[in-house]
Amino acid sequence: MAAKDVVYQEAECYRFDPAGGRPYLVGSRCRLCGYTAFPPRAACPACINKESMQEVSLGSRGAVDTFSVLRVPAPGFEAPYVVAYVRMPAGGRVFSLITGCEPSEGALAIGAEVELVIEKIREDGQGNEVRGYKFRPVAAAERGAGPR
Amino acid sequence: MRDVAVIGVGMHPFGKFLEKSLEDLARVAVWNAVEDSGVPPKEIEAAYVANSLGGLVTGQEGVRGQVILRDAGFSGIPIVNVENACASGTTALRCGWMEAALGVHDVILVLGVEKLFLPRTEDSIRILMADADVRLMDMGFQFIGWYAMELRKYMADYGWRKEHFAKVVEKNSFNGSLNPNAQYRKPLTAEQVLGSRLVADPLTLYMCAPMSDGAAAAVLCSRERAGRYTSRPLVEIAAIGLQSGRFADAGGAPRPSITTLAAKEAYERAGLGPEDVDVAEVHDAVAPSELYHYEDLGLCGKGEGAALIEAGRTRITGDIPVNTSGGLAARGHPVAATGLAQVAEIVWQLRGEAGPRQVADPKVGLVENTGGIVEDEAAVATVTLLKR
Repeated sequence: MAAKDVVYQEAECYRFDPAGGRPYLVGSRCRLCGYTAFPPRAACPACINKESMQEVSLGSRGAVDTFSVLRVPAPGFEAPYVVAYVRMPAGGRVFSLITGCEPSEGALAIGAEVELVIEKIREDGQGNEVRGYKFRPVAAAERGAGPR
Repeated sequence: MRDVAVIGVGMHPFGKFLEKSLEDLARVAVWNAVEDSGVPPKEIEAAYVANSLGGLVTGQEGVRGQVILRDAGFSGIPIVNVENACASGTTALRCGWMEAALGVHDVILVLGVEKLFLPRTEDSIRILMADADVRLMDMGFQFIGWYAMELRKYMADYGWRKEHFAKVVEKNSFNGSLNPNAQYRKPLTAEQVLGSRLVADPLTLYMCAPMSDGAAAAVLCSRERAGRYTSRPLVEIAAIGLQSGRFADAGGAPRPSITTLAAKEAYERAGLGPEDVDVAEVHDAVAPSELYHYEDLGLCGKGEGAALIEAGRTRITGDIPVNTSGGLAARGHPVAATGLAQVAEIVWQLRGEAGPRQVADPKVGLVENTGGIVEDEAAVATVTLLKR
């Protein structure tokens, strides 16, 4: 039986810091008006310019802008799970799964600090593991990472 | 620009019709609208057909409008297919309005039809999700969760509570119980709404629009020709505003919703304001979203939606009746048919033909219809102002 593959989705949206290997989110910023887009875009939607966008790091940490616990899943996912829009201080409002957090309303709050991780998101129709970006509460991240 | 009236409306009731095809649903709505208009069928000069997801349901792409209308007896006229997610119906209305206003044709048929029920529910859900950015779907996104996240911000910022959300369902399910075209006709109590199962915290099942099959149609006519066909009170299109999402995050700065922008366009073009609106149908894909549509349309100030429902002002008997048809959660939400069902309700209201749902002597009605989600915003919003 063929081994299942690992597939990366949205791989253009993050990179790993060459020093510590920590992932960071990638967006694009307009060098004319300063508008920051996530996911990275080829043209600036604020000044409508196709020459002005440059890749920019949006960093690894953001704050929960709003969230919900989904009891009915999107196709290919298993409920319950937590989703959020995460606001990155450098710009961008990012839809993401939240991991490392109980799927209950009280387990997360607006304003909570969250950190980027690259992990399994779902399985695709062929049973391959699909990995991509998601966020976890910073406290949980630090517990998991041990002393630094 | 010439003035344009909606001289006929008709529906196929919304609901679950596994045995019926798109053509079966459309035929009923089209003929109800044509007969309502008084226009001899041979005098229909052009048609716009809105359908959002039929290609995924039946495999028929590209020419669904021609195939569907052929079955109803209409062919050999210009037929244009219109697709704009849940706002497809009013987008088609806007196309027909502009064509008649421009004087290209006088009598135009507009149809919205959708069939979503399939033997396997998971197939229906997968198809429905295609009206959001598929990139988001692959990351775990679903529609109800988006509404839940939007509403959670209002809860945090303005103290809105689940009890307010349940009150919207209480009102709309009562209105739906009076509507023979509605999918659900059972009035629900706030307790029943809050006690139904959670779909996406804080939203429960009874707050959400269901999966639906259905169709709605309208016949448009230039005002100068309308007298030839009908002697009923004439309902004119005062203006239609349409706006698409900018998908440009403002870095936390407040930005007006696209509904707000579409409403501004419509009000300005019509020379009307929110204070003129006597009755409104709004796009409450989850019923609690009605509360922020109030403020987006200028019916109340920022954050005041909960106070409006609490005071009962948006009931049929209130001073700003909203969703007298039952709204999306009670009437049902067959994607591309929804906008024209909203229009039908307002036309009936303005003509004084809404039966037990009739509000007192309305002169101006509003239809708000939104569709799709891209990034963190609706993909399209329309606001239609109708006046008697």
